[in-house]
Amino acid sequence: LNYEIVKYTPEFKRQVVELQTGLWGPDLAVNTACLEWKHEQNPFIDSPCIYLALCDGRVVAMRGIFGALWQSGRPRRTWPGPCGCDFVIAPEHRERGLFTRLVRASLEDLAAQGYPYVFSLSAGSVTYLSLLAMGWRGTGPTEIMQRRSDSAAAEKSFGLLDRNGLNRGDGWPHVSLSTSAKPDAMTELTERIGGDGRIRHVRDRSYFSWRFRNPLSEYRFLFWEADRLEGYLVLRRSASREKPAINVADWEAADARVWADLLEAAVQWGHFQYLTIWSSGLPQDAKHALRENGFGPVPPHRYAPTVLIRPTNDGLLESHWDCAGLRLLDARNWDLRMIDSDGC
Amino acid sequence: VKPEKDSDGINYRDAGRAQDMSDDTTLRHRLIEFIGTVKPNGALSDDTSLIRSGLFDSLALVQMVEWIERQIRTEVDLTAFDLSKEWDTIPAILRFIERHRAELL
Repeated sequence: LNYEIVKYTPEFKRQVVELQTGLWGPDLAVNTACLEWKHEQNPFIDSPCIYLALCDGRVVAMRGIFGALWQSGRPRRTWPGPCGCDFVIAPEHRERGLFTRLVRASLEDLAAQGYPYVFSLSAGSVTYLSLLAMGWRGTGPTEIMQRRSDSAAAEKSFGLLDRNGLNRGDGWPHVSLSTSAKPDAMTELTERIGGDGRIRHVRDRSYFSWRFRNPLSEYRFLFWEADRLEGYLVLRRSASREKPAINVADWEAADARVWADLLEAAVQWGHFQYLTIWSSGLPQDAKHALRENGFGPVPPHRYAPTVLIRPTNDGLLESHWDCAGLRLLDARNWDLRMIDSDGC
Repeated sequence: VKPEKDSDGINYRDAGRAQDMSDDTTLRHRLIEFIGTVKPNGALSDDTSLIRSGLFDSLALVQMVEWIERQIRTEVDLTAFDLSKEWDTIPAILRFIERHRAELL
């Protein structure tokens, strides 16, 4: 079979969303919305970076790269660092070297666009191993914590959270629940808190306006407000009925009380069967709140989430992988939240 | 020690001539046998690239991880080293195993 590797143009949209039934889901309308959201509406890349394998003019495999903008250092520097995401190969075209060809095409194109590194935060086990085989390296397993309720009444949805959040009692008078983000207030808060110099995704107005529109996810926002916003916690649930897990996708707070109030409200209002969070990058106040609310560490597994990294230029493979003065392969240099993964 | 033959596609003449039954030689032959079960249709020598050449697909890689960990008797953090380099050839894999065994002593 002869394959041609090409870059995505809108004429391929229909074929791509059909191919994505093997990854995102069976609904073509949802898949179309997901493609448009992740790649066409993404504020951090000029045009979609999707690489396609064609066989007889038909799309049989794809590799997506979505735009991301990172910040690090004090004073803050920002730098683009695109991230690998969706990888699909039609079953009858697997084991024919398409993975390597698509990744190679993406590396060459990203290098030509001036991106020195490409990242991946959501690789499944097959992609994970295949990327390592192509010279990618990782920061090691991300620390994950989870709270589990064995109660028969424990929730797998936002039903109880929505009811309790609307009828909030005296426990957390400053905490409110919403189904939508507050981009201006969230931007002001994150600017005010500032970063500690570690690498984290830029959280500006364009980010907050775009990021929580993922058609494959449902979100709930808990806001801690007095005169102004002092903290927020974002809960995420997969829109797929087969993956009902609920996660703390993002969480920021101005002080220890706000960290604690937001988490306690989420736990008590939601009464979730499982509530999971990436905890590596969190400050001590947040980790203390997690322990106080019954979260415990999840033992790491082989393909636990990690930051996979590779220079786009093979000539840099043997060099130190630094960006803005920080070693990219050192997990301590990353301040991650689950929302940084496109799977969230 | 497996005799020299090509029935499983492995060229033992180049890849694994056994001179004695030392541990190293046994390990080398076990590795060659393993590669033969995973990728039975290919000539193999010390220079054969398993990873960078794409000879090992993702399924073969999964099996490689399990096999190497059985030899080392511990789980390996796959992100902590350059897999494309340290597992690319038979001598490189043997060095990797020996180094990790030594670290456990």
